[in-house]
Amino acid sequence: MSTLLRELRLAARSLRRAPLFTIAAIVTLALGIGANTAVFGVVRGLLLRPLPYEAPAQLVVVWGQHPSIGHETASLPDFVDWRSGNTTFEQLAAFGNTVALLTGSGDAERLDGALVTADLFTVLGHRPVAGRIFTDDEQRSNAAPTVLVSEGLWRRRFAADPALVGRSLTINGRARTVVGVVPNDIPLRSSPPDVFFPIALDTTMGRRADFLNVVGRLKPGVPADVAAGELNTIMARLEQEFPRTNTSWRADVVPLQREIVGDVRPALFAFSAAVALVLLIACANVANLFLARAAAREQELAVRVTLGASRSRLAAQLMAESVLLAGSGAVIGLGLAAAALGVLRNTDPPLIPRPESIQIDLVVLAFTVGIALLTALLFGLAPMLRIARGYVRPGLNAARASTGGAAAVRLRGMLVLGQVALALMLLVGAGLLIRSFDRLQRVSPGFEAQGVLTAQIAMPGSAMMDTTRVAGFWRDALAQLETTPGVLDAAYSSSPPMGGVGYWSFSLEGQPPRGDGEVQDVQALTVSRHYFSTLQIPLAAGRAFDASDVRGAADAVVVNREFVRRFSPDADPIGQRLTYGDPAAEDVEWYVIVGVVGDVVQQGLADAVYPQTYTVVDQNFPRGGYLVVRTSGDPIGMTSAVRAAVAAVEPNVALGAVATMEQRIARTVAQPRVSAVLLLGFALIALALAAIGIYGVMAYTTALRTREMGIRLALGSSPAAVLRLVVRQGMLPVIVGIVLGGLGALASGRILDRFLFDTGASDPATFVATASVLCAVALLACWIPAWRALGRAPSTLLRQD
Amino acid sequence: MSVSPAGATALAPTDTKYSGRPLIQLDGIRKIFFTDEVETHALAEIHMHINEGEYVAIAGPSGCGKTTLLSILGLLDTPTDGNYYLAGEKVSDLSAADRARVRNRQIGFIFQAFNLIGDLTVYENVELPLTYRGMDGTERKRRVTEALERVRMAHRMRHYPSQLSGGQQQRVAVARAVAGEPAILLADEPTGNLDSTNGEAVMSLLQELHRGGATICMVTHDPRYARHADRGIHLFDGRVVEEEDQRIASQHEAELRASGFDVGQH
Repeated sequence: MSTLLRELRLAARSLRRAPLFTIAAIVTLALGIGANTAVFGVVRGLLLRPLPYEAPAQLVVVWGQHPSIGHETASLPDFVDWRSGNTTFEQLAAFGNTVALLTGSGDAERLDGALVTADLFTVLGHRPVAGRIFTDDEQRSNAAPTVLVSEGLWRRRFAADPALVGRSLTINGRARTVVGVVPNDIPLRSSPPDVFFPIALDTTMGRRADFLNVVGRLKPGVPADVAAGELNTIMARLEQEFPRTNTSWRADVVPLQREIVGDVRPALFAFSAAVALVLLIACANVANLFLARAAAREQELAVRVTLGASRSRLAAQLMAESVLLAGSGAVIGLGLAAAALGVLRNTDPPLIPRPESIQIDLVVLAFTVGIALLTALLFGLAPMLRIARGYVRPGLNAARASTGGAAAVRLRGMLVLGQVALALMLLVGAGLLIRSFDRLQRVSPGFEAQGVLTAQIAMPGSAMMDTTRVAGFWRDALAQLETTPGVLDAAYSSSPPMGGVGYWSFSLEGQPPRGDGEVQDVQALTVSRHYFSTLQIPLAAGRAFDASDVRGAADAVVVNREFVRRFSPDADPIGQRLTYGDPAAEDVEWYVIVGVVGDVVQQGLADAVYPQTYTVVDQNFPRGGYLVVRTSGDPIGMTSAVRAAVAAVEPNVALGAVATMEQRIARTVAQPRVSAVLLLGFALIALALAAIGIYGVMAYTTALRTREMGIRLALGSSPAAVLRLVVRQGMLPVIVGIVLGGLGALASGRILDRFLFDTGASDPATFVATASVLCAVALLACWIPAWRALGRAPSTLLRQD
Repeated sequence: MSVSPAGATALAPTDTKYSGRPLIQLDGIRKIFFTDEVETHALAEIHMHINEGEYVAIAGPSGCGKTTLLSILGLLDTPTDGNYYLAGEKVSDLSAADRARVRNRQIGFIFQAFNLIGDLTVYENVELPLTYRGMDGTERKRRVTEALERVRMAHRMRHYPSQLSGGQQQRVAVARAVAGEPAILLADEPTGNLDSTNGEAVMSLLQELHRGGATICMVTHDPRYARHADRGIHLFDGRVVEEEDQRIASQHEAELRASGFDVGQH
């Protein structure tokens, strides 16, 4: 122990006496270890830490599944059949999303709500913070209206008042008794609900009114696929009973953990690979520094051997230095990782699911210690191998300077080659993501986003605001906004671009009936008259909505170009009629296509354009939706003016989810942007480390060859010829590294392929550009030390030892 | 007189000049260096011995094999042929690890270039070979302090080598060599990097150690310093060409001087 402490103490002093080497090594290692710790912190939080629910391994999500749609939420009737017909679940619960308006106590507030089955909290293992959870009786449609308040809202709005339980709150214009306060950690929700309402199990709803997220707890030992098999037996029966709605529909059972983190798993894999490459480059760099230092210290090591030091003792001495360097790097890296994770935890909107689970705990600390030791072994290995192989010999002429020998020169060449190959792989990856992100940002959304503000409106129920008042509200609010200074145009939209949207199936008049289970749907939106002008969506044919489109007149619908391309490519769409219901029904409601507008990217820039239909607010008076306001200045600065205009018209509504259209677009590209920025960051670190590493090695090997250069000059070679020779020899491992790195990047392209938008994983321009950057850096690293050496007189070079 | 672990007489103050028992015995030592297709015969059929307490100087021109011989004596190299006995133990065919152990315990080295480690203080440099023995801290401290006092460098024990003059550095190197109480001190041109004043001082120090009972084998090309030894061994082309009892030679020289003859340096 005392020997170990002595070696550590002496190693610390030795490192202190070589500050440049020590700082370079520690910074390099801190970057490598910090990046790995940060990514492992995310992996640990998302993939390794159990979900914050009781026995989370038993929890699953049940999806409806259709061959042409994929996963879909469930309808109430299907859910009720799953629940009553299965034997593999202990419990099966469901919830749907809603928006609520809280009035009566303080300012009206728009709340995020959830419609839940009574057993949702039991399934998750949540116990109420105060009061109780719902009972089955409260799911009946005639039950007394109740509500559960989330712990977050309880603390924020009600100062954690325990007397809230039993009090009545006015929500959506209706008095509801608070029966309890519950945790608001509900899976599959990006924003936690503020309030929960019991859902009435109304089996008369359509079987394709899909809005329920279904969460189940499997009986112990039952695998997900067995449960899926059982649910699909039920779905096959439903297909027989309800062919019109249930043909081809199946159920899929996915473990909750996989469902929550499934999307980020490939990204985490890619980032883990990237930071591992950074760490390897860092190790190669420090190994090179270590080799050069060991060569310079061979005199000292030889003296130690002469005085009787064993090889293991020398190795222990070098290992003590490695451990100290790696330990210092780990401490700083841990700080860097903690800062990075803090940023990641607090991004708005969250870039990862469950950001609160990302933290540095004992497991992450253990990982850091482990990786630091591994790193110490990796970069300390080369000099130790030299000792083990007997390169350090005792002798009376230990004072003679050493070049480290041909084997060390070869080893340094290999390290440069490896660094270049690894750095190129990272650079190519970053280059591809940046190119992809650039292309994504160049996608035209189909409207002009600049200067537009959007805000969601929450309205009370019909008891407080009947349909006439709702219709009047939209009309008057939009008119009020249009006269507000700074507002250029204002409109209503049920779902403005860059957000969720409803998919409705429809039929064109005269079209042959669709087969059972055949899906023909559109993104269906309801908008106001000025919507197209407010967002500057171009009119391609026919007309936009106008004053004639009111209730009582023929129902009008505007479609987009993609709709025409897909469903009416050969006929003029104007005047055709479509219905969202059953075209064979007696009371079928037909909508006349009056216009065609440009395509709008509705959900995210990376999504393909989808057929869209627009109906007009003046004909169906929706009880919620968004205001879309084009302003002449900074849109976010208009928030209070918009709020005031709305309040002047109707005090019982509340604004929420206020954002500019540019913010909404930025959110849809936030993840690709972050991926590109992160990978670019890692790649730049790798490039910097590789450049420093190559420069260090070249400077060192050039210094060793100074005398040789002097001899060549003395024998009549021109400085240019010597320079070419040195650069050519220095670039050889670089070129080989670039070839190998290029091949590695091609092979690993599969990892990145799924993150790329309109960019191939083998994009030649990216490969050529990144290889050129690396080549240029390496060329400079080779050229500068040789050029500096050749600037001296040959006689000086000849005297160099 | 203390005794080293191998049974050899260790360096310590003693009344006996030397015991006459052979501490080192070389029988037919040959050393051939093989480089590519060239064989270089560095030593050929060396037979020699060094007695306990003896002070031997190995001299000869450049390339005669002095350093090779000293390397073999110091177990820094192995002979191609022949036997080497140190304190009665055959050491010519030991493993590298065993050679390191014997070097550490029985041999003290004094180098031409001092070879102190720059990162270590004077104290730590002297302590270094003792740490390789696994000696406990108290004993190490005692020996290091004693050794530094013997070379009159105890007052500089917290200094680093770069803060010392060449002569001081060599004195520290001598302290490092004697601290382990080895059976023999091997000195390779110990004055080669020193000016004449410091060179004389180091030679006086070796004399003093010898008078205290130390067995010393020194390589030098300078006849002035060779004369400090009891016996001179002259090498030429890897062979011992002359052995001379320096004490008798010195006595003759003194007699010649007394008779008025000039005995200049060679």
